[in-house]
Amino acid sequence: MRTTIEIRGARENNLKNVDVEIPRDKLIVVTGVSGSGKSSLAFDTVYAEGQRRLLASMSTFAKRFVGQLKKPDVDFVNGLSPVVSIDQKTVGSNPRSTVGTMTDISDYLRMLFATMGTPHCPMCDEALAIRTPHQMMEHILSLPKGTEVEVRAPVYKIHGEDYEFLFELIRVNGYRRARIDGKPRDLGEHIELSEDEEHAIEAVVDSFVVGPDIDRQVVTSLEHGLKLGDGLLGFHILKPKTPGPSHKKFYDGFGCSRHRLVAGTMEAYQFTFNDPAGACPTCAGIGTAMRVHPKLLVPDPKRTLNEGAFVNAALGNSPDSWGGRMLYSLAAHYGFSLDMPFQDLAKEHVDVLFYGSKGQQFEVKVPPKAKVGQQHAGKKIKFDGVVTQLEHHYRRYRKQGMSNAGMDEYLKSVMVEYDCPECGGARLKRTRRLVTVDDRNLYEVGEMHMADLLKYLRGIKPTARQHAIADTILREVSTRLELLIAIGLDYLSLNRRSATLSGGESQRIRLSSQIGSGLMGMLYVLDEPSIGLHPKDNVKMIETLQRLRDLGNTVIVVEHDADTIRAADHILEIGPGPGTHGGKIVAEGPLRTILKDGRSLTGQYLSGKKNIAMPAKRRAANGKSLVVRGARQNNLKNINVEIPLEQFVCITGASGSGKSSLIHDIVQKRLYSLFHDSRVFAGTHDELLGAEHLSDVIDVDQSPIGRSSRSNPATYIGFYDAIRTLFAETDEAKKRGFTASTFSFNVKGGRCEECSGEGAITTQLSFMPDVEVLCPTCKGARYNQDTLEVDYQGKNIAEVLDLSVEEGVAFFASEPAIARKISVLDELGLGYLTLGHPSTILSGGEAQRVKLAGELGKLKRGKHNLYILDEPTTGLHFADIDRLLVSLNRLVDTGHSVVVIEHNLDVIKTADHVIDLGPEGGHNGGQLIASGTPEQIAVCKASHTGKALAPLLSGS
Amino acid sequence: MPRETDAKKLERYEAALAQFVERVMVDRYVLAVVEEGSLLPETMWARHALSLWIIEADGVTRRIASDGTDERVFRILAENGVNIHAEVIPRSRFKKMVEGASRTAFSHNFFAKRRVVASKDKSIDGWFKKADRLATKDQERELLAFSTWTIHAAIHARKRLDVKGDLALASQDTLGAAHSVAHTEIIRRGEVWEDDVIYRAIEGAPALFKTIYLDVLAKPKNRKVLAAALDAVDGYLDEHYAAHLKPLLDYLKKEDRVVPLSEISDHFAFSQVYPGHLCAACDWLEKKGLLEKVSAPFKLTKRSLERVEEPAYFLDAGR
Repeated sequence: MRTTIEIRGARENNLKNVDVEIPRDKLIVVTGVSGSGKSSLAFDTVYAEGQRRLLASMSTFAKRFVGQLKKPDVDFVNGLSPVVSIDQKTVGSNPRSTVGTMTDISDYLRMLFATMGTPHCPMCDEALAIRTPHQMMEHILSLPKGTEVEVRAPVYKIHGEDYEFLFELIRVNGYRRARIDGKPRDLGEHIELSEDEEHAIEAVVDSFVVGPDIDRQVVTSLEHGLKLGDGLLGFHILKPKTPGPSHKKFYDGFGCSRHRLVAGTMEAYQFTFNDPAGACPTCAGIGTAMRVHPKLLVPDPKRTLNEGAFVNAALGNSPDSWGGRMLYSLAAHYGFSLDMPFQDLAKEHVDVLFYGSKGQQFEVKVPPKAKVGQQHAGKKIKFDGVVTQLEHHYRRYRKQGMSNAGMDEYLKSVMVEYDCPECGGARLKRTRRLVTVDDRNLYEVGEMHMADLLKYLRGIKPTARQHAIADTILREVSTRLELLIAIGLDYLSLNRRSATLSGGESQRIRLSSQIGSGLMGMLYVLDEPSIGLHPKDNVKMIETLQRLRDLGNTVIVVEHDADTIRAADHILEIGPGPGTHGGKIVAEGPLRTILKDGRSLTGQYLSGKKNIAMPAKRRAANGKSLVVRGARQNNLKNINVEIPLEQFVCITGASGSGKSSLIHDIVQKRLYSLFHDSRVFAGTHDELLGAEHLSDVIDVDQSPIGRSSRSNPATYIGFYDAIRTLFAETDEAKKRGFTASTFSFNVKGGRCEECSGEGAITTQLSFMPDVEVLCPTCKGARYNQDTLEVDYQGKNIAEVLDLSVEEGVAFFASEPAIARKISVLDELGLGYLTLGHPSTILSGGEAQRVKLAGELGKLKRGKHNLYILDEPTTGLHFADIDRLLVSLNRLVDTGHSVVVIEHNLDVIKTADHVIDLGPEGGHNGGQLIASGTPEQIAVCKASHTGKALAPLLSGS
Repeated sequence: MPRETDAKKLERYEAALAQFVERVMVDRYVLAVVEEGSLLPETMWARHALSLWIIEADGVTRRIASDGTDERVFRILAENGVNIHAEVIPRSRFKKMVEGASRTAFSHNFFAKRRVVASKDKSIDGWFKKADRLATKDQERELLAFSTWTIHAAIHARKRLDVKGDLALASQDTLGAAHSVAHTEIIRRGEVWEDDVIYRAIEGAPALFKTIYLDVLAKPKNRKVLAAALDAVDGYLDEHYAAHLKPLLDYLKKEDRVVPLSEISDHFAFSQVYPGHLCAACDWLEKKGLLEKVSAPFKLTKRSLERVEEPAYFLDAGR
């Protein structure tokens, strides 16, 4: 039997015809400097080929539903298994995706509640009997012949709507009769009800006179009625008016004793907020509603109303528009000026604009410069107010049953989320929230942290009848929870939205799902699963990878983490350098082989022959600092934190301890609202002091620098314009009448019009993946022939964009402004990228470093910016980290402040100041554990970071 | 061959109905048989078949290829030489027809004209009895629907007459408006608005319909006759608008703000009140000084950033 995966002739990207054999059923780490070709081997070759082969074996029918992969550039790969890739991509911003839905635990819990749940009366909370429609029918038939039974479904007002709306809803469902506070009413008549009072509304579903052959009528009617009553029906004996003993017996064990309600059998789909059967009708299962925040309507309060102080789509100011007419008319009526800055308007005038004329009528006046609208002059109307109108629009969208789908983008941009007023964020209908298992409803169960949830589930005692189903469910859920806890995600809850998870957390959740699947003989390819993990949690991660291996799988991990590399059965180092300098197997084998191999840069760092040096001296505090008081966002426990400025500061702590909540949600957003956009809302805190010491806050994150291939490092950093100008100033260009824009592939003129400057033509095929072929006209050059005939120093514009960053530094040596900007990219280890490298294929770490290079390239004396970076060591080898630290320290040395959220101990040990949060994640975190130099942190017994840091500092 | 007399035909139809009912009610899946339109001597001349609703139990509907995608099931049966046109309706859908809001073609009047010939299900009898009783809101909705038609038709006829001077087409449009008034009258009286409504309306308001209908038909189609007819239609609208347009007026009064036409139309969606007719009605009310007409911004496509404008109306409740 094959014991290796054999790869011959791998040439994907920069791989140099690599031949390698990877042992199967082992934990293999692929490492190397950034850009050396690790991902090209692991993902673009091994994973891509494995997936392609699997797909090729499927039927033509199945292939229609799965996009095929293009064949990687490799001669052959033997010994492959079905392959699964678990990368760091975040799961998108779908508000309906939660940890529970990602892990499928929610599906099991829904089954649990459907099977074991006890519904309760919405009025008196009494536990209700559960019956199928057939059982209800049989129970009705047990009554004496001639008994008249009325079946009613309780219905409730939808938040924000009146009783009339509810009556129409009942009517549209096909029911005309109702009981309101017990009295029969005809919904075809006008019914006046006080909206301020609660009324018990029951739709009369049907009435039956007990007799032969009514069974068929009853069952279908009950099924329809259960839909209207959200699973609840009330049974009331109308005749005889004086019930006998057999009539009274009807209610024994059937229906709540006061309200006669019975619950229908429950199904799992009724407990999902992604189905109308279970979703809260007010928020459609999103859990939040939206309301307009007046602050968001006026982005720049210094503007006057005539200058367009309001967001134009909310209230335009053009004299010919409705908004312009309203403004002019209101100003005339209330006596305020349209030329006064918004912030200087009197409060009562601002209130009129936001909340309306409150019943007061005013005369429509047409602005003097208006060309249209004269027919409205003199009419008397009322004004709702911009806020009122927008919220009205929002309610209309909601009523249409589409949640927020289709809502104006601008409407979303001027609204803020708050907990749904109906379900309080639970996302489920009222009746579903009344179903409990061991006194907890599904929402409450979803709010528990994993460890608490496991304890709760272990305490559930199913009845003998429930055992068969409940045991399976409980076992499956417990296994998944144990895996999630083992992988260090114990602080998460099932209700946590997926969009709020970090890349590392998402990856670990998917990893735990794979282990939970129990598959063997698989090939797993992972990308830096240690990202986001505190060293103390990394141990659990490594154990999890080993467990996956022990199930009988091959696990290939692209990693830089020293502990993970040490734990590997087999290590492959790709290099020796990045880009064209890499693409070869530098060293391979078990750890002891790597440590001894002098060619292995990784081995040199692991053996201690090379290390990331500690600074000779840490920068002393200069008295300037940012102080956050009363930080309470998410799990932060009302802490006060002082962040020294003009230093290199590291924020550390276990995953989920509150680092991002403190730095991103509070510090970054608060500063951004002060410097740029007052509409940005910071996380919950009392105050932030010290902003006057800063000029700006810059978040250097890992989001893409551009979303199309037309964006690249040259355009982002800004030296592309300078390059185009150089070309435009050549004699040949002047002779041909070319300008700088001729040398842009984004505008018509100099670009290849066959591909519109893309360099490739994409063709969509039905049964095959999109095929991208080199443009037959420009052959990928992106420019037309005329433009390519102009050269600068012997190279045309396409050839210049094909230069690597490293080559670019030398090429533009005579243009210091350009060379300086390019050289910063080189200093950050991005020398292998081409100047025209499409931003769509940059990794998160590469994108972050391009942004950092952009900032470094525009450093100005006299400015004091705060730079925030979140795990900038993602994707970086030890050697790359060294270069990164040089750049970060350069920022501090020029008078700026750098705050880095990090787990990497080599980075932490070089910091001037460390702020450690914890002690654990989630509700067990959020406290300030220690704050001081790395040495001070290392001696703090309560600090996990300190414990991990101590050996490193003593070793240094 | 001598034509069968209406009386003979009636006898034959009644016998066929009785036989059919006896046969079909043995079927345990048939719950009731409802006669659509009474068998009366005066209406026999038009009849070529019995028309029935057959109410079946839920879950037993038989569909055949000729039913296509239509939810409704129609069958042509025969009993003793008499054709029977039957719609077979499951109980739950029938219940919805009877009790649901009159946002479909059905109104209480529709059921008032039907007769339960045989029933095993007492609740069906009960629905009929209750459906007989006029639902105020349903009647108001129907009055609104027809009144907006009338306004629209009258405005159009007036333009033909006054602007185009086309007497022939103006007379046709005037007759259209008259039919609309006839429907409105019948609904207002709580009667069934089917089958030769105009004659029943004439009986109820002879003077009005002489002017707006009979004179237009019989007299020369000149400006004087047509103008008199349209003036009478306008007079009718003036007299009854407060009641006939009540849902619209109540809605605008409750909103107490400038309401765009699209919102008004949304409110009356499923009520067979067309946006175009609503606009005509609102403009008519504006001309009467009851509404102010302004405009409001309107987004033309899902992604539009620019706004066009649409009519919007404001009712001053204090006036």
